Amino acid sequence: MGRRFLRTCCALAALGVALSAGVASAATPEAEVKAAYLYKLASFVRWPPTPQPPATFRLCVAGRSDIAAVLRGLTRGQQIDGRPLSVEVIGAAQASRASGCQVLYLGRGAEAARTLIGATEGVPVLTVGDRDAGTPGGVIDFVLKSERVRFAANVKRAKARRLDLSAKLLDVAVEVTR
Amino acid sequence: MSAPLYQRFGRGMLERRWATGGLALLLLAASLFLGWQSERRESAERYRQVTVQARILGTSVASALAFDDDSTARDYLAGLRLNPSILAAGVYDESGRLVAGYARPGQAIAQLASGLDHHPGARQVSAFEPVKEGGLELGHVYVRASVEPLSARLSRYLAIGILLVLAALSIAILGASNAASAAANRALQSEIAAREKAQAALRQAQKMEVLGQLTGGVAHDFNNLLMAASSGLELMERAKTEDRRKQLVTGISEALQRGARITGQLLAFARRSPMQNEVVQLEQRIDKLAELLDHSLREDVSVKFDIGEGLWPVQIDVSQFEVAILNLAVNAKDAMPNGGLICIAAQNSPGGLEGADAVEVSVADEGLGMSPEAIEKAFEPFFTTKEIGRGTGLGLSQVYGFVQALGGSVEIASPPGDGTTVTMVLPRAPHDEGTVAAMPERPAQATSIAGLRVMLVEDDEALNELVGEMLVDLGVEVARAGSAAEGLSLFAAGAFDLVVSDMVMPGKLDGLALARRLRSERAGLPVLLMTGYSNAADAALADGFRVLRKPFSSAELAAALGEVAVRGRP
Repeated sequence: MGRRFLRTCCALAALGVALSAGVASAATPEAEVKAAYLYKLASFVRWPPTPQPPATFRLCVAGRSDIAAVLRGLTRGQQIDGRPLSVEVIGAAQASRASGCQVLYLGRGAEAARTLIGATEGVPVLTVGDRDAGTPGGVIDFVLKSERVRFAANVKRAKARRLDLSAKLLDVAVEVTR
Repeated sequence: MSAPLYQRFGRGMLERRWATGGLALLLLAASLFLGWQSERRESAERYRQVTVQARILGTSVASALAFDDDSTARDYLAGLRLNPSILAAGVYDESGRLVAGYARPGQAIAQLASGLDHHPGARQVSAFEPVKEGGLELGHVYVRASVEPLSARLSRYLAIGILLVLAALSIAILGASNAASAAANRALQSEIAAREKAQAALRQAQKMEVLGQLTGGVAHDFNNLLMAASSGLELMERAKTEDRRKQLVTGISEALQRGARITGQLLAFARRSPMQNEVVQLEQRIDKLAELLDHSLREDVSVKFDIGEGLWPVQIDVSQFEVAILNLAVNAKDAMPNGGLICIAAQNSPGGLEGADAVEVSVADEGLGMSPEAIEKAFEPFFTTKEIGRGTGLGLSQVYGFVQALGGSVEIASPPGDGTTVTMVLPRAPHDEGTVAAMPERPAQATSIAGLRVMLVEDDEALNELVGEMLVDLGVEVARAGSAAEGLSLFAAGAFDLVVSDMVMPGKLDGLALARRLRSERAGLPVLLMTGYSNAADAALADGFRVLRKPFSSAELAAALGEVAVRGRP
């Protein structure tokens, strides 16, 4: 996979976020890392049990079709909790659908992010913001630190959404808000 | 019979040796197997431990692997590094690349999971465990650890083993020594018991021998005196003149006196003879002694007396004293088979008895002398150097018993070739000479008892009659009773002045008890007790009763009666 390479290029990737915006087909290392993290995050979070769990585990991506594309590639044929994964691209217009997502990445657009966060208030949706993209306020927020993609965790928001963040996850978070 | 037995024994030994050898081999094999098994268990256990450690590490580094946090992974490895038995450890990502790892000096950690050695050398175990989170495989961890070297474990076991062996050994030694001492004790006990038994048997045999000697000697002496008495009586019947008859009576009474002396001596050995101590001047007794010795010694033996002037009085039983002198003189005579001189000496010894004044009476001979061993044993009863039938071994015992009873002492001196001197040290009597002089030889007169009413209690019918006649001859009125009980009722019926009673009588009441009873009824009642021998004689004397020893003459009876009559008179 050449992650070391990915990591060294994180800064470039971050700079290139703006440039590559809208270019869905060309996956940047930054997109690949974030996509991988979005996929792996689900393993460290527990969702509240529901009487009738949805048939698929939905990973929703707002504003970053390139990451969605990488995610699709990553999760093909994979399962979480015995459920097949589906990756969806979502916009502020489809806010009503957002509450059905398990993971909701708010990739770009502060306005859209706020709308989507508001639409899923109190619903067990793991919201993932991106401080560099100006969409903070998720349970998890990607941050760029020492030219690497790290994340901050907000336990308070997780509790409000009845999500349980694993201690191991908090262990590697650069910032934990309780 | 002995050959097959030996063969059987030999075969048994051989079989036992085979069995022992086989058992030893079996034990060796069993211990080797157990050792091998424990080695295997040790390895398996170590592998399990390492696997658990690898899983813990895997769980800990899961998030670090997932989100590429190498420093967190290194932190966890640093924790593992504190365990010195972990030789190497590594965290590999899902592509098998080493994310973090360490190896101790001399150890290596592969950069790729595919390069890992899953079968490290001996004394090492390794575990390679996947790192999973929520069904997502994130990578692998690898841990390699050392198994404690066999030598280290063996030396540890050896130390414990040595301790155990030492403890067991000391317990075994203690037990063995205990058992040994117990066995020795048992052996000693049985030895002692056996010896006691042997000694008892020996004592019994000696006693029988002595008894034989004694009875032989006594029978001989008695036969002689009985012969003298019976022939005297026979001659008396045919005697023509009164003088001749008197002569014969004297001979008969002498023979009877000798018999009384023999029994007196026998009783003295048994120490049952009541001591009738009186304060005497020894020089006054010498005449009698000379007479006694004349009869007892051979013609070739002469006796010299060397009596000091102004001897202190001594308190002794005169007849016992006479017997003692006689015994010593007989010994002296026997020590001089070819005749010689016996010197009997007496002298005062101021402070001679442990600081108190004493009178020394010695009997010396010019004989063979005594060996130190013989001197040492001389006073032991039945010890004799004389040939069988000649001595009883009781002579010096009587001397010893006599002197001891007085609180005196006796010594034997026998310088080689200078004869033997036996010295009796008798304590000086506490009375002064005036008292002694006042003590009459025959304190009572026959006249003073005439007309008294006397009750005689005696269970022996013949004696009862004889003593009764003697009393009648003495001029007293006599009422006779055959037992103490009869005496009690008789005494109640008549008014008696005096009671004469035997001491040893059948029935609930003996003579002493009767006397006490009568005394309690009438204080100051004169009582005369008669006895042949009696342990109670001492008690009777202690109670202040006069004891008359059997056999006694009419004159002795009269004297004793006079004594009690005077004493009992208010």
